[in-house]
Amino acid sequence: MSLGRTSSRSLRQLSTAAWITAIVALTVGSVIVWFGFASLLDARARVFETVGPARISVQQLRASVLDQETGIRGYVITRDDRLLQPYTAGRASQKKIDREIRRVIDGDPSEATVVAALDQVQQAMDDWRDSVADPLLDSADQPDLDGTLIRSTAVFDDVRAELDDLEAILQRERVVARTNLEDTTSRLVVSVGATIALFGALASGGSWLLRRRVVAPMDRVMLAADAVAGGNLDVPIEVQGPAEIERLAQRVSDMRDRIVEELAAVEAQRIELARRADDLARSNADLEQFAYVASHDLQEPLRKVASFCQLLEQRYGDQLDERGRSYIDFAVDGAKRMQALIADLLEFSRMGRSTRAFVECDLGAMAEEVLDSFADDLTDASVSVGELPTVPGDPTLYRALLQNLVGNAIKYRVHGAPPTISLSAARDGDVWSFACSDRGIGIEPQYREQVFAVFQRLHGRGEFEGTGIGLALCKRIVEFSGGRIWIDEPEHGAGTTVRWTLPVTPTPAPTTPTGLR
Amino acid sequence: MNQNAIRQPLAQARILLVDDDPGDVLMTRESLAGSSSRCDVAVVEDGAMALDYLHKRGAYTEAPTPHLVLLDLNLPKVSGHQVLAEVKGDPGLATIPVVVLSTSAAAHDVVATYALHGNAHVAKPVDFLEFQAVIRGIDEFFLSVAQVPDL
Repeated sequence: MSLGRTSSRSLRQLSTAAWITAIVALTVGSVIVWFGFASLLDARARVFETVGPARISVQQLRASVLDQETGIRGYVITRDDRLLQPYTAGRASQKKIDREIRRVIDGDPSEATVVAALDQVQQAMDDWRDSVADPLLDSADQPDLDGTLIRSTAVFDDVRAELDDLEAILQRERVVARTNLEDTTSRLVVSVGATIALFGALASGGSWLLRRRVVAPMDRVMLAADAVAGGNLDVPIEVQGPAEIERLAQRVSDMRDRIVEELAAVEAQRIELARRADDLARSNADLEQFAYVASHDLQEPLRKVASFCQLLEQRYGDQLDERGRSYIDFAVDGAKRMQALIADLLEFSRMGRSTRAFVECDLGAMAEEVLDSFADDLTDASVSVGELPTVPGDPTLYRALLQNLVGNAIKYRVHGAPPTISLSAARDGDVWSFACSDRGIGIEPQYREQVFAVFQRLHGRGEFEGTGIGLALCKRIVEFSGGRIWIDEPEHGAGTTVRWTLPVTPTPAPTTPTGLR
Repeated sequence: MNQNAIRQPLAQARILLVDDDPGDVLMTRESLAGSSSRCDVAVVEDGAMALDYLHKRGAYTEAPTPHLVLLDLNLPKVSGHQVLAEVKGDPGLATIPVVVLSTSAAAHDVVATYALHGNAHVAKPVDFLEFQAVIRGIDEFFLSVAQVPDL
């Protein structure tokens, strides 16, 4: 990765910034809109609840004032107390309306002006009352009716003028309030529109940032990962973006590097394995060649030695003395033993090479066959065969194993006594444990391992025949089949007990050498 | 061939022995010498000579057709089985009994012999006395007991 981690802001930081921006924008927008609404409500209230009602009240005020003037006028002319009623009612309602206007206008920006104008009206009315109404009402006679009425009209004109002033003031305020309502409405519309536009801008800006800073780097990592997954391991993975994605890209890159390394290692191993397999195949072919040489070419000269010695004896035996003939016998015997040794060694070396797969072998039936093959030697023998199991293995090898063990039990019996042989088996966990016991001459404890060596013999050839390959072959067969074999303390106090084990379930397939015929 | 062409026993049986080992040749001759039937033994040392002999060509234009061929397998130049294949593949020679006489008792060799229509595969016994008995047995069977064409 070419960029340092610190130079890239992390997704966490980006998302926090986005949240803060969104919250601030939301708050600012809300406050603006909220204030807009509040102003709108205020402006509306001023138009419809302050200035409007005040104007109506002023008209009522005018009516009540006119009522007073009319009442006085009528009373003065008629002196009828009933006609004074509009005057008293007008006076009362004037007070009421005056209070009402003062209440409505209370707190309004125009309060001072309106109250001042109201005071002027009040003052003008008081002047009219002092100068016209009260003197008229107090005097029982009409000293100067026309003059009073004319004065009243003149004084009342002041009241009218003050009322007109008040009305004008309120008319002005009404225009101001209406204009303010319109302005406030426009401002609210504008601020709501601006807020929506701000949110739209923030959303598209965020989405653009997301695409540029997150989605695009992710796409590049994905493309690189796809390429790696598709087997193109040479694609470099260098992605710049938020720290998390850089880390992800780094991980994918590390993974790719590891895969490349492992692949190289596997390839190296495969080449090494192939080389070893070739070596093994060659070595097996060499062994086959050796086996052929041993079984043919090596035996030929020996056959000649033995045969011509025999021919010599046949043709010229009568010209030789006893000693001469014994020389020939030794030569023939030596050559034949050499042939037997070669044959046994060959068999030993080839053990298991023809095994293709392990099959289930019924050792009980096999033991019967082997004992039958020795029937001539077992005429007066005591043979006991226990229950023998069926085990996985190569039947040819198992038959050779039993053949050798039973053969040994017969061969190494106590001279002159009939052989006693017992075969048995017992399950011991995941192996079968076998025993082949006899009451023969036995094997001394110190030789019990040695007897499994190739061509190891404990007796002179004069006593017992054989090359000494038998137990060595047995050991190889048992070990090849996944078990082990050893000489135990004799079961019957005397004689030999050979014990061996074989697995109950097949061991991993036998390592069959190549080059099988 | 007519009825007169078949005689039993052959007054003068002809055997072609194909073997490159002088020891084996001597042993075979010695064994046949004690045999009951009288026979002429011709010896060739390799497969090529055997084929020349049987085809009466080269140095063997005058050679008589043998009644029996004893064929070793391990021969110089042309191997025993190659000789056998050519003989049994040639209608003019196919009727001559061929006994493969080899040190090999290996299954694949035995099978090859019969697959090529060899008349018998006999392993040379290790013991000379047994060898002698086997050679005499072959001689006895093919030249006295069995009937063979006289070409």
